Amino acid sequence: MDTPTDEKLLQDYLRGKPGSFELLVRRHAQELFQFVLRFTGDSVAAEDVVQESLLQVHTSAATFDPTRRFKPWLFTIAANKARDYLRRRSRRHEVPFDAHLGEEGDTGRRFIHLLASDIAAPDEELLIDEKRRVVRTVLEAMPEKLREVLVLAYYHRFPYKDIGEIVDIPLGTVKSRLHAAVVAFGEAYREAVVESAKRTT
Amino acid sequence: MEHKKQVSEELLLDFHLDRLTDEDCSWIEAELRRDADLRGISDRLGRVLQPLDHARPGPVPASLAENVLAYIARSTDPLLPIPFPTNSRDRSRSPFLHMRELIAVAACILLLVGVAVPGVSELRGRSQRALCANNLSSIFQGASAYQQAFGDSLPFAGGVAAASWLPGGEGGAPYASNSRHPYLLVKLNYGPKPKDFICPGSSIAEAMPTDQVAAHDDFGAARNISYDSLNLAGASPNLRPPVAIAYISDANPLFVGARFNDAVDPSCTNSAAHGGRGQSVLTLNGTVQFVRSPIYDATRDNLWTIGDVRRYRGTESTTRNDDAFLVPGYPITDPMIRASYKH
Repeated sequence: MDTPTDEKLLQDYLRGKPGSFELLVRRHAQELFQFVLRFTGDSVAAEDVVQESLLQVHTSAATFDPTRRFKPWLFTIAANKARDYLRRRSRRHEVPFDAHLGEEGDTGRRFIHLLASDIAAPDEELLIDEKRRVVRTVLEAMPEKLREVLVLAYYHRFPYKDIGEIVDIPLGTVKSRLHAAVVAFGEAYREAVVESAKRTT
Repeated sequence: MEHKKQVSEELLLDFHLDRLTDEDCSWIEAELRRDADLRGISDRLGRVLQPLDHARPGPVPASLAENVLAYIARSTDPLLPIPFPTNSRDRSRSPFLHMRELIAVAACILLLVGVAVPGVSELRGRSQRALCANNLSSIFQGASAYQQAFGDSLPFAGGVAAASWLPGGEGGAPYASNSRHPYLLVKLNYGPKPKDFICPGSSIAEAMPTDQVAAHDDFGAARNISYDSLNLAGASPNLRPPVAIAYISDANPLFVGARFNDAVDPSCTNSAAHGGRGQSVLTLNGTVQFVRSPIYDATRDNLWTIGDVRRYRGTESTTRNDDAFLVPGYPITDPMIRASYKH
């Protein structure tokens, strides 16, 4: 038997078919949680955002445009709620990254500049747990608009078109923003690794 | 040349993110074999992306989907959204249909209220959780100071032989409230105030008046403490170190109105204090967490029970020092307890 698509399940739910919405929740809750957790860095907030997002899907299902796909719509809702959460929290300092960002988050830096003076990769000395901590810290410190594109593209492997829909930016901007996000991550990660190595020595 | 490198960077990124067609991949691989500079950039890019694989997210809560479905059910009931089928018939002239439109508008307004109110309620819930965590932190600081003064003993008001910690114990057993123990932190001035024992999520609890503290050996009434604490009946109060188990938390849902409620499933029922969404828990290592299940740590220990014991009469006690069992205290001076309890 064919697995029903998300869009079919949503239609079934709107027609009153029992279990359709529950199946949608079970299908997407985990991935949505991981996305929001990477985005917010807070597991309690992530669960709250997932609950609120799926509640909105439940109450707004009739407004869903059936010619579009469900998953980008769901992630759009979750991304908006995660951004709202981060704004409310407003404890983060993004100046180090934002200071050299252009209009679309393009630093003007290219991959060729990354690790340019890197003779021995400093992170090879780091233990796995320390690497994980450093990566998480660097990701959480990135500006929202870079982090969300990087997370959607790298971890959730959304097509560029879907990312554009979720983040509400043109396709070209998705690509330039992702490029900027990789450069920003690379530079910040290198600095963090050097700092971490200094502390351990 | 610069233009070529810029284009190559875009493609290189897609190459590393596995977003190219097989044909483009082959072309890039050929370019990499041919162009040492490009190969160098590609290597650097790979080394930048490689650490991202280490950022594994934390574990997904085991009952996430169930929690979401329960949250939606709570938030929408009884205003479950009912999809309205479209109706293309002309209905402009019927007064009955005008009434239907009015009803539809009223339903929309109710639906909006149904969506907005949980939002406000959610914000309030977060604030209450934060305040609750502050309370538990204050209690931990007091308990730590007490432990330093009393040879690592937890606050302990003394044992009563064969006593029941639940009022009205069987066979005329004497009664000894478990809340006598944490009350020592207030009475002996170790820091926590009576208000710190009231979860802001509890609608019926109220702080004991501070001018009454000195005259009592326990909270004056059951409503003066909304938290449940580690059952110290029959256990050594010295639990530090090595274990770090739950010491105090929001109220155990197995006990309501000073009675054991066997209709509650302890494996999946949260405290009622935060709308059933979870409970704040203080462990003896000083950690305060909001946990969304009574199964609260890596040892899969249940906050509300002793091992697999499912029924409680008031004489049960923990036999292991890594098995948290958080029970309420019903001060004997509480009018309801005094009236119902037979000495």
